[in-house]
Amino acid sequence: MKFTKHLISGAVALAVAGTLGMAYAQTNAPGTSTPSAQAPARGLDKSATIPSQGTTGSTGTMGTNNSGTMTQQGTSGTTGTMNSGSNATMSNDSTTGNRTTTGSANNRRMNADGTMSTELAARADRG
Amino acid sequence: MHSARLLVAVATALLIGLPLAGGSGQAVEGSATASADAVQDAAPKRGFRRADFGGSKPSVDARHVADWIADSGDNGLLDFVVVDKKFAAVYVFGSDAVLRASSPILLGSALGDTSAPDIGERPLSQVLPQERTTPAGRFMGERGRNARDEDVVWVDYDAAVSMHRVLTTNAAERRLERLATPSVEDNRISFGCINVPVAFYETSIRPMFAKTRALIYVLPDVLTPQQVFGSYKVQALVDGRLAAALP
Repeated sequence: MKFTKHLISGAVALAVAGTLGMAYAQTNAPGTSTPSAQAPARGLDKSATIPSQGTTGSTGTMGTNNSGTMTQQGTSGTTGTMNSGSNATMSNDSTTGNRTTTGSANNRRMNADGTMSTELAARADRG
Repeated sequence: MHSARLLVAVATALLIGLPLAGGSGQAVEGSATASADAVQDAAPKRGFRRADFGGSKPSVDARHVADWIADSGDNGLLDFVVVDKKFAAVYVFGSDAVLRASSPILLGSALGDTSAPDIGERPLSQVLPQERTTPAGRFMGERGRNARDEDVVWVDYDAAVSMHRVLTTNAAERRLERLATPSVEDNRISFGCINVPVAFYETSIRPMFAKTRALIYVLPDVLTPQQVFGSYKVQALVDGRLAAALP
């Protein structure tokens, strides 16, 4: 009789422990949400491609020539730089992952009111 | 019987796939596996598009590239310009690949299809004679201004190559006379820019780029168009000669 009691008590204890364990495991399971990074807007792009979209905040560079590429552009607040004589930087939009141009030159001329023109900045050509 | 049908289907799919390659050349290479017989069966089923030069008689290379643009849709919905360096001519097309206008042009004095490193950052006095090339390639042209505050169309902004009204500031260069002569040898005079007659710029170039950008295809001097653009020969496809069409 005592043996049966102990057996039942043990089984109950195991069941309770198992239930608690399962509940704990479920509440601490890794989340299913993933970074919803989107391809950056390419308003100044001529034919640049963006092969990979990182999530760890690495810094990328982007050429402004006809075949510029951006690599490993992070989504967590890092900035990339645009080369080829440009001072513009690309920053992250914290909500969409799209980049916004925050630099000053980027080969585009400045309007009188300080805003960025859509036209290329004047420069010397090769006659 | 089944295998023959399959071969035809594969060839048809490959031919239809050619325009989607967009000049990458990679998809085109795979199509060499189709047999000539299958291609001949499949070719007439696909509608090939060619550029409409109207009454103009372009060079073989200009015809080749314009046809490829028309057939592949490489220009998207944009108007485009074909610059034929070897024959010192420019062809202006609408997005439908119908020729709007053409004209003789002046070009960089040196033969070559690339630009020297950092040439765009150097003053003209530091550009060597052999560096005075007009680079070949596919460029997204857009309007802008040069340091003389003239409106120009930038071909390769980083390399400082633009298309503009013919310069007459240095009389010794006789640029107007060079444009007027029927020969093309004397049309190589600039440091790399493309000079067009003033009237042509005002009526054909400036309006084209006034509100939007357009593609500029500069044909090569030394390389082949296939090497520069990954283009294929549309006429060969029309004739059902797939192997001859490949880059």
